[in-house]
Amino acid sequence: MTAQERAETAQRLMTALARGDRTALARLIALFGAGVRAYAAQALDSPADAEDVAQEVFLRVWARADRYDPTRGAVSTWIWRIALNLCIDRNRRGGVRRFLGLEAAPELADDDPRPEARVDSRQRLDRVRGQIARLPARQRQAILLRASAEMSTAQIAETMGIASGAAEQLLVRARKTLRQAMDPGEETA
Amino acid sequence: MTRKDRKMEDDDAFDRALTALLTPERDTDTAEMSRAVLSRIAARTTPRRAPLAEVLTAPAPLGAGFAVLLLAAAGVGYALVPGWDDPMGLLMIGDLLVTGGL
Repeated sequence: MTAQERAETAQRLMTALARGDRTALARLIALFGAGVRAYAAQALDSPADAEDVAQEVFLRVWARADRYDPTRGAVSTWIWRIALNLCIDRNRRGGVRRFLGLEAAPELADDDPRPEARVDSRQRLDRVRGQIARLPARQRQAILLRASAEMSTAQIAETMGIASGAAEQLLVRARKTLRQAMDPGEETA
Repeated sequence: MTRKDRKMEDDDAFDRALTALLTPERDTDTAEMSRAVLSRIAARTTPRRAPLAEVLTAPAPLGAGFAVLLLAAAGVGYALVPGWDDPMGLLMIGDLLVTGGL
């Protein structure tokens, strides 16, 4: 499915969703669910919450379907903006709860070896994920929208509510930091 | 190829490498998510009108609403009564409002 077809399908599904069609919601989840969950797994301080946050995103989509205005942006942008804000809220709440001692600090991926994975790629992945987690919030959001959602700079800008140039700057800075963490000999192979 | 083009190509390659690195983590199965979301929607959905049996077993909320409507109707009735410019009329209305006319 091309990006254009995807956008048109999403638009049709949103129209059906606004009429209360639950089948349309299931199809919308099939279109965007995996991407939203993958983004949440990278963006959240606690990746275990990714599934819950992804579900919450689509619950909000369902509840606010009649408020979606197609003149203000594509369906995908609207959904990703909800995902972005939910991840920010969840991280903020998690931080407060950890500060108050109500929640254990999430373990870093580096401390979570998975024997089934190849050690080299796992170590590389963990190193990059650790580096992404250390990026400033806006840079992290931008690079994850690029990598997880495979968005263009314009779409990232629209989702984050910033100018295209500002989004490009965030991407440039994030890439620069991450390049230092990845092996330069392998990164563009 | 200009330096800018090379840089853009490098950036695209970097983004693809990053996507490839993170993508194996992606679980593409969304059936379970659909089921969970639809179940949560079904759990949240409550009937908009209370069934008759519910009203009969717990009549207080509906009774309170009815009483408020009666009071509002009485207030409107008093407000429309002629004699607001007459001190005796005002005393009578005040008496009715305070003591219920007893």
